[in-house]
Amino acid sequence: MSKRKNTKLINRLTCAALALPGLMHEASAARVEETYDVDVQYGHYEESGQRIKVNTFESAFTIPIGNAMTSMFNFVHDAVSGASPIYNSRDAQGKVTQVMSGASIKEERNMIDANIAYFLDQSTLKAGGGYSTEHDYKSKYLNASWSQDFNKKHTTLNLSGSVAFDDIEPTNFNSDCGNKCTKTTEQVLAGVTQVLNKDALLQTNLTFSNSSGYLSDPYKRVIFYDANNVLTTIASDKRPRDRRQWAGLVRYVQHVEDANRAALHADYRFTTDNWGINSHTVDLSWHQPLGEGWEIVPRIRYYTQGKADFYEPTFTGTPTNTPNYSSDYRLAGFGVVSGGLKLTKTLSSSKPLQYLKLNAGIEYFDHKSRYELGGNDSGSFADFKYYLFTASVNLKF
Amino acid sequence: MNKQIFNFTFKAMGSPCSLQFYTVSHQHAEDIYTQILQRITELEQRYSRYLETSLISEINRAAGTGRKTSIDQETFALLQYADQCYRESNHLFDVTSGILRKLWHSQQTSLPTSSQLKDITALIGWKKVKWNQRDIYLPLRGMELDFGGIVKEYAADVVATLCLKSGIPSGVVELGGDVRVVGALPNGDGWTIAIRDPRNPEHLITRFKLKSGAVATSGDYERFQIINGVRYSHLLNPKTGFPVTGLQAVTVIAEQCVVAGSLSTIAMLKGHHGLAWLQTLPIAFLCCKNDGQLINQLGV
Repeated sequence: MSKRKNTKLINRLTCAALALPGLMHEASAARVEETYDVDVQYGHYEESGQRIKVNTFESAFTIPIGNAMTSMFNFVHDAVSGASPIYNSRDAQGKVTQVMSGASIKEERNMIDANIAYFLDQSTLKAGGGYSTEHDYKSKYLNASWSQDFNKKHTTLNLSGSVAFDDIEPTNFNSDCGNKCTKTTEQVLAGVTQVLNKDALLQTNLTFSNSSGYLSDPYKRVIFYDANNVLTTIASDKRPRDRRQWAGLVRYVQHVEDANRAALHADYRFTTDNWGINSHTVDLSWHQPLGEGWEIVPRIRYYTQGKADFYEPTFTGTPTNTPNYSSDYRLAGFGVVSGGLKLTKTLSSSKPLQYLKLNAGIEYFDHKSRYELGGNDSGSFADFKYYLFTASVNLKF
Repeated sequence: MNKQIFNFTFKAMGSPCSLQFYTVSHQHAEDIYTQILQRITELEQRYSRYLETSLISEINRAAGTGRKTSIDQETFALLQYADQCYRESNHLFDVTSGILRKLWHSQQTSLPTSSQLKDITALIGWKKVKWNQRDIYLPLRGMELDFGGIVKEYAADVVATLCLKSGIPSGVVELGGDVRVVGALPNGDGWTIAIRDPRNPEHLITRFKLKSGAVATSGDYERFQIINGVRYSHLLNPKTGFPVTGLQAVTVIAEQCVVAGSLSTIAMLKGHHGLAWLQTLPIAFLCCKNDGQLINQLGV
């Protein structure tokens, strides 16, 4: 059957049919699936030039409780190794060099979280919490969310909130933190998801988060020079004790029936905070089913951020005259261009296993200061590249 | 969770119907079946032209009296759908053409006279109907509205949505030969759909599997009459007032049963041009020509 035919007639009839009450269910698909899900994921993240490597093992379990509730458990184990930047120094000509940690870091993090979801006809309530631990960092958090459908499930309002309590116990004692300090973060989200038509969906979210306490990085250092470019002080990273950040997301999803039910996902995110960091992300991905359970997802992304008010690669002056200072490359102005590919194969199976889904993906990132929107002349000393490889297995019973 | 299949057969809208789906408990199955039956009965009570108390009968009784009949949102949507079919079919699909049955009922032994035809066709014409979101009015006494070609198929779609809303991902509903799949079998396979031979209903022309969507057939299967040895279809051309000829039956696969139903009906109404019209559409279909030739473009 050829596709280059009078598709418009069918579309017009279909539109008229979908206007009939009780015909538009597909766009808001049933949410309570009484299935047991098991997800196991492995991820490998590696930065260029002997820097950080992270291996992540993640497993998630979803267990139904009756036909209106589900419980979810998630376990994550990360192993981090490699060197990371500690400070920047500058030579007599003012040229900046990044200095890496000599000893390679070796850290492990374990996290467990659990949540319970209760599904009503028009709404979903979720509550959960988690605990994460590594040798110098512990975090406890709680979250709750509410989503409410309106307008025959074409519109969904999402509200959520979370709070996290972190304890930091640095292994070096010469930071402001001393041997123990704390940090608290509260976050609230409000969002609307709107089904535009049978093939398109628009999602918007606004998130506000407020962090207070020790927000510096106890392992980062800042070098102060005097007016003659002579090193005077090596200080510990010092950031404000509160951070308020706003983040917005606009996501558009368009299904393309003629392309074998492919879907375009287009995301735009922005963030702004009282540290002066503004960021923008554009993320495009194309989800292309290939038949026989195969799907390929190419993705491109551009991220740009402006530097924090208190960031300098190196400082001139003295710490006592400077309220806050950081040379952490993550607070600098930069851009990241990335591209990736993910391949999924779904094998349908007979009972008791309903299906088995295999995923493998790779994403390559190029982090450069000159990729910052509007340009950045701070030089290439902090530039690096990294990649992320993921493989996962998803089982549904 | 272990799911088992439940099978219900019942009679609705003058036809034998069946409903099959997978769920966990007998109680859940019964609850869903009851809910579905209630909704189908509701549609029948509102839109059947055979029931004196139906909305359709009320609209028809008010024809030519100057009295408008109030309608609800569902009825308005059905009228809009009927209007779309009318426009897409070059005015062949006309919900006011049901009145032609008066000339072509099954006890009929002779052809209608030309004056009978003239009188009746004067009462046909969707364009004459005055309707809007709030009310409808048939301007001529004797005019009739008939959703016969739409409501049964629409009901199949409504049933599928009700199943999905009740957490039934796997099931199939058949209402008098029109089929709507709720979702594939739990092992991912499609449901087997069999198409009967229009001239020999005990015999199957083809069978195929369908994972999603709907199948509707329009043809002179049961409802027809033989006058002077000629077999006349129950499908009537609103312009000529005569039964259509050219095709014995048309089966169409579409996402919604109501769309599959109207496409197969329009193809039948187009008679000898029906096959060529179907071939211009990006759809899977099966067409039985009058000479018995089978055009199978189901592609499944």
